[in-house]
Amino acid sequence: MRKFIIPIIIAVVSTTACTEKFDFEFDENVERIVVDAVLTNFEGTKYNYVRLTKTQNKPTQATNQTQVIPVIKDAVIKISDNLGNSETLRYTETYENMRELGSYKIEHLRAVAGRTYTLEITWQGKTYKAVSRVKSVPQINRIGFRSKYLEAKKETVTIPLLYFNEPQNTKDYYLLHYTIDGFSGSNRNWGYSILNDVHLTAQVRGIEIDDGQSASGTDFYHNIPEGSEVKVYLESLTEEAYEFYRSIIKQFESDGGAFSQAPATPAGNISNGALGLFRCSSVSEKTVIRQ
Amino acid sequence: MKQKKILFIVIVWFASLFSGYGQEKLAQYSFQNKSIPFIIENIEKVYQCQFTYPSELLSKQKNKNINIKNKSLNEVLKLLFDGTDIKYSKKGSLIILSKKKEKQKFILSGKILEQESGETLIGATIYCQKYGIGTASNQFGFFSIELPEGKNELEISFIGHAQKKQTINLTKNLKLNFVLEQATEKFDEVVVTAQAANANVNNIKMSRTKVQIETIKSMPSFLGEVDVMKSLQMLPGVQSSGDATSNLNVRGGSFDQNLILLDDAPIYNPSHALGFFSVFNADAIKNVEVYKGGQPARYGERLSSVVDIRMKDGNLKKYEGNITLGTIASKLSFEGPIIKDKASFLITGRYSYAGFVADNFADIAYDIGLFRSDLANYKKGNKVNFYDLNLKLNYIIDDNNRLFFSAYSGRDNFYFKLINEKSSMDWGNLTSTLRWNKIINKRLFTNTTLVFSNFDYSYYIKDDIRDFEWSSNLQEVALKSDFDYYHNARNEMKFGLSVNYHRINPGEIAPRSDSSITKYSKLQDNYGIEAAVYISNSQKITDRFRVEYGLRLSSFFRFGEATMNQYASDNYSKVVGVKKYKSNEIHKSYTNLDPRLNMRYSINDRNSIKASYARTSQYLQLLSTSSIGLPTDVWYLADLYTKPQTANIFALGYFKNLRSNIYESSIELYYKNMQNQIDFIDNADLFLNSSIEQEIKSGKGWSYGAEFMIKKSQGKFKGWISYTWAKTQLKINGINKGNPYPTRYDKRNDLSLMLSYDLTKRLVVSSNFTYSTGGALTAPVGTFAFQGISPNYYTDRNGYRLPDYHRLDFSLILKPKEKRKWKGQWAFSIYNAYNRHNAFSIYTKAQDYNVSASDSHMIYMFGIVPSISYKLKF
Repeated sequence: MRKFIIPIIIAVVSTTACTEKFDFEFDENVERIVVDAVLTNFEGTKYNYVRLTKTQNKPTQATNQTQVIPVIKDAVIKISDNLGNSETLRYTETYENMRELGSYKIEHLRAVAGRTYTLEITWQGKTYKAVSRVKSVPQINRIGFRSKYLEAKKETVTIPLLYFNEPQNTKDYYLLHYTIDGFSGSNRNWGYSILNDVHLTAQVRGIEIDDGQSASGTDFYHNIPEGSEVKVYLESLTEEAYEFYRSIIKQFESDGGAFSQAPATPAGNISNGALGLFRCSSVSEKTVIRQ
Repeated sequence: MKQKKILFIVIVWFASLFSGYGQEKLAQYSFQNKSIPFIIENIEKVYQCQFTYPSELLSKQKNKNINIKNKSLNEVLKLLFDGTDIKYSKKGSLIILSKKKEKQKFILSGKILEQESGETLIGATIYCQKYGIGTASNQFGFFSIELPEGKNELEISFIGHAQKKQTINLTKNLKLNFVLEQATEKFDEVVVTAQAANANVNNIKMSRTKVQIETIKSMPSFLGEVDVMKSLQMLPGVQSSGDATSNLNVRGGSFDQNLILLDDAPIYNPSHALGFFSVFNADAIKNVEVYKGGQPARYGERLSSVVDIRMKDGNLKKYEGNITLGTIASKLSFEGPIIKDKASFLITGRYSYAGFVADNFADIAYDIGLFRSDLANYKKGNKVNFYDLNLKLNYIIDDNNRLFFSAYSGRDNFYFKLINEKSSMDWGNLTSTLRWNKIINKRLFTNTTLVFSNFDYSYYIKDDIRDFEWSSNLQEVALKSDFDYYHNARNEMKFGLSVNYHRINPGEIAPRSDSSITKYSKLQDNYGIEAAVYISNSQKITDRFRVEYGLRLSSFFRFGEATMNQYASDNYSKVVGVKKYKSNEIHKSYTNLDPRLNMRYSINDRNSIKASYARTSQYLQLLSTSSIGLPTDVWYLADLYTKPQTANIFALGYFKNLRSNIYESSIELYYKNMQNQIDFIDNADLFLNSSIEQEIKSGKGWSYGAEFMIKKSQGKFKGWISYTWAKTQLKINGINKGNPYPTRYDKRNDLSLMLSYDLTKRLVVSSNFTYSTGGALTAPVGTFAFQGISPNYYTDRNGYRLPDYHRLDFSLILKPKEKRKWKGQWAFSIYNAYNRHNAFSIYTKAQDYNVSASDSHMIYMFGIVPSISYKLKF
């Protein structure tokens, strides 16, 4: 049997599985108009605006910088509701936050639950339309806190918990976000999470804000120092708005590679080939000071 | 007196002279399109003879062209009656005509075996040149051929074996086994036939390839692992889903549309290590046959192709074995008689340590400064292991009965950081087949098979909060009986029936630790039964024209305890209620009648035209979100919402052999349309989803193409070139705005070259080259600003073409000396010789520390990969 023992084999070098940066090349890139429009029951231009920009070609370039995003300033924009109220918007150069750049502010009209709003944008001879209905949102009863160990950050942080009564007779979708002393996150974090009522009971007690779906994983939370002011927002979403957010969140989860499903452009509600979403929401908010 | 005598002779001579003259005027010597009775009348006059025959004998005879001038009567009779069913005999000047008695026919049946091992040979041919009659042995080595009585010289041939010529004197039905000797150095090359010399032209089947295991073994192999599935990707019309993966896309079909059979047991996942290797250990394999279209009626269950793989039976004569030590896997195989010439066994095993090797060699390479830039992103700590075990037992009960048992077990552990750092997978197949061959009589052969197949996988998420195990499995139990009936020299029938039982556990999820937020949950099991009957006949219409026609009737019953959603409309979006089914209740049944047709018209020995049509149906499909297939993809049975897939495959081909059958060439054109093809809606949510029907849409697909192949399988220089032009599209309402779109594996051009050259009798060098258009992908075109981030927007579904794929491989095999008892074989190979970075996957993800911007990266699985393996035969 000793003869069975034979020379061991040597292999030389194997250069396996490596990655390199890849740039997609397209024959032509068609610029598309992008609408980011929000109308709520809250006061303030931060909660009521229409932002018009153009798509950018290089997906690898950072586009959240002022000099990069091409803004459309000369569009004619009108919002109206199903009761005949309407408002024509004007472009505002002033902004508090970078993400408001390119905004047309909605001064008077506010979202009222049950009403339907129509957005009409005319730019360079083309008209883009969107319609959105406002769904109601329950009041936040209470905000609690708990400690949570975040594996990725290797630290324990305090996170807010949400209490509210979920109407069981309606199909509801929610958008959740929070601020700590007015600060809503960093560039590592997209501070929105979405929630489908399918698993919610009538009494929602102490749900974590990211218990639905969010883009940021464990980076969703930041520590809440004692004495800081925490504002938690619960907004109503229509099914199409929920799907739009879900589609964006999906981009963070699924990378479009050989092992994942085909990605897709988030399907918004704007006509005529424009990208983006016109969202009308009811918002409920609760402010607490962390003791 | 004498004068009188002389005068008489002179008168007679004159008379005869004159009478001759007179008759010459009356009789004709040359006849154009004249009836036999007319010719006979003239012959009687010329040759002074008389014919006698029954009046009806000549009434149905064809008119003849004949010239009798300067010919003897015997010559004339031969000319006139040869090739007819008329027999003549002479009695003086009387010629008696009668009907020839038909030569009696007898049946020669038996098996064709290999001399050295006693293995039955599949597809070995028996040919009688004199009558142009031939047949081939079936999957169990059995043949039956009808031949005229008397001496028949037969040629028996099989790939890689010395052709045998044997004269058989048939006086009754005869049972006889033929043994063929393996071709070794002692044989002259001319004697060793690749196969029946003009099988390419003469065989009725098109879109079918028999790949010889020896050819597969001589091809350059990736990391020294001879791979059956990858060698099939070199054939026209067959493509791979991704670089270095063993999945097959046949004529625009997805990879779940291939019926992959190992000794009749279906293999649900033919991949090891996510497809970089296939589960088939070449040392255990005897024969591989692929059908891309024109599937015989015997095969059903899948839409696009059949890959029928047969394991070796085990040597009945002597013990033999081999050990292979390779770069990433080592193998052992051992076979021999349990009872000499009566029972035998074969056992093979393979174990791979690919992850360990990859980590260590990456380290070494980095340390010595090789490929540093490439290896900068390499992450260690990978676990990629797998094993295979094949077992075969066979027992010859008597001349007419034989039992086989085959089993396969294989399992994978996969954790490869570059692909996914947070999850690992386990998966494995287990199959077993019990088979009983019986020769019922000289014309009828039957094979009854009981098959069990199990596939299961587990998926572990190693994330801090979702720490869970997801597992799923499926089982199939099948019973089938196949009959081969050799009716006569013109008709060979096949018929049979089968019943398949399916049970699928689509998934259950369980937490792996207390800190996991995951709760245990399970999707309901799915049950189905598929039953089928088939019949087909291969009929020789004329010497040149042969038709094989068949029908397959299959029914599928989805049943079992279940709660199914009820929907308001066919788009399955609004649930209006649920319906509960009991365990023995049928939810839905489907029936399909699939006609099959193959035709061949031989223009001559060297040229033929073939056409085929097959309708196919498939009752279960793989819900795969990935382009290359993951073991974790879910098999899904047709149900209330998802109809079975069906396809119509048409093909037309021209086959030509050149230079005494040394070169074989073919052109095949095909068109395939497919119904009830499914795809996922945008952003489908599949995870533990009990209402999958809401996430998928179904529609139609079509594929067409042209396939070219030139092959040389004899001589020192062997190889083939194949080229395919093809186009595949799907059109599904609700996906890509209802517009047609290409599949991910739609590749317009595909070129494969495989060449090998015997430098000496022991040294073989080979090379292959493949080129194909890149696959299709849904790619990010750009970004748009939305609430503080910049999400991507994309092309249409699969609207972007990946870069072209091309690769060159080499191998050098040093064979052992024939006379040695211990035979060592070295194989050196270089995969991807010019270090092409072929895209395996392109992914786009958010940059670290910046959620607003994303980058795209390409993963290429392999750069240049040299390897060595050593095989010791004993």
